[in-house]
Amino acid sequence: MSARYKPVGWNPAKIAYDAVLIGAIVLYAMVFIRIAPQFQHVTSPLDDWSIRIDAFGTCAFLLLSMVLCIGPLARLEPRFLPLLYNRRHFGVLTCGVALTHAYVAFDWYFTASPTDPFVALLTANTSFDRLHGFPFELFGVAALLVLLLLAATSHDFWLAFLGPAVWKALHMMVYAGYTLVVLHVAFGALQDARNPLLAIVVAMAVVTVITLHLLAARRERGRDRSTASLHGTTPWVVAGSAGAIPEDCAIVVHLTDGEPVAIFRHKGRLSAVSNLCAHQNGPLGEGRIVDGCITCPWHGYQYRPEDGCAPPPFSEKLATYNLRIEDGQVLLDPRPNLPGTFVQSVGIT
Amino acid sequence: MRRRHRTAHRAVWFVLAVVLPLVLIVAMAVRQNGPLEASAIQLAPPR
Repeated sequence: MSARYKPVGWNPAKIAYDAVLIGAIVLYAMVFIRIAPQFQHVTSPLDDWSIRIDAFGTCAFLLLSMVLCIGPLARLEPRFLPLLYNRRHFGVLTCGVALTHAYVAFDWYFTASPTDPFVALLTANTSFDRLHGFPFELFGVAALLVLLLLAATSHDFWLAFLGPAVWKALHMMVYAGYTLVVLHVAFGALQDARNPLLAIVVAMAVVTVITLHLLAARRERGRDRSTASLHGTTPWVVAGSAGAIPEDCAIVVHLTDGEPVAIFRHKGRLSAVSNLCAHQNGPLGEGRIVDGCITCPWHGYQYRPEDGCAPPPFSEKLATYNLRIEDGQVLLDPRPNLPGTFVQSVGIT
Repeated sequence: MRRRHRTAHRAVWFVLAVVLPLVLIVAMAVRQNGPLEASAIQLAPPR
């Protein structure tokens, strides 16, 4: 829903979100740099550069773990949805912190090296034949390249250029990036850490990320199976009781082909459209009707319920679906109409 | 989120649920404890 190009569509919520994030990152780095020297071993004190490397490294790891928790948290509990709205800024900031960590480490490692620093980084450690002392730096380099690629393509321009399906597939590389980060930490900092705190924090972060994703996966698989069996018994899908849909809200039905459909109630009448926002596949069914238009909870894109079209001057369109009501039950025709097709809304009587 | 995306996410996390803990366990297993981490030994007083 963009009539003209804007590099970032700032609004007060996004500014507050980013301000809190940047403030938290600065605070974390300052506190870490201040208190870390108190925990160092007396026989091998850390220099200032090492403490900075650890401060930005741990910060980047924790930020990336948090980014990965946001998706499943929002699916499990809608109260976390506001964290999802600006997740791309979270990711870009994470990349910035990781880049700072790499810059400080790079400076510290090779300041006195007679070899070119980039060559030294790739050739200084060639212990590929053993786990202890494995060149963990290479995992970090690979992870940083993944984060840079994702940050560079996080803008809406790339979403529109690549299309939502390709863009989402590309951004699933964050899981490979996270694995590389865990390898980097496990065979790097954890090998040298004399304080068990780091190992405990890393293990807790990894377990939390995995647990949330598995819980969300289990919940969605159960929902897929229940709607698939329901759809298999009748050409029209029983979507539920008409009276159970709150005014200006929706229920979401998952069809056997994987397409989720949102059925909205507005002024006592029902309309059905694809649940996927044309902007970024946002979950329209978790949004509300504002000023007569379905409003995506992610970025505020709007569509008319009866024809799935964005109001002028915008041009986005959604597929619509036919509905009917029998014995108080909403029945949905699983065959989608062409995007923008007008369908008369069904009155609840 | 389309079903094939959800299926891909699920498959990825079922694999990572095994791989990531395994990486941490192996890393801790190969970790070498240096003399700095050994518990202190009380020396007998000189006779």
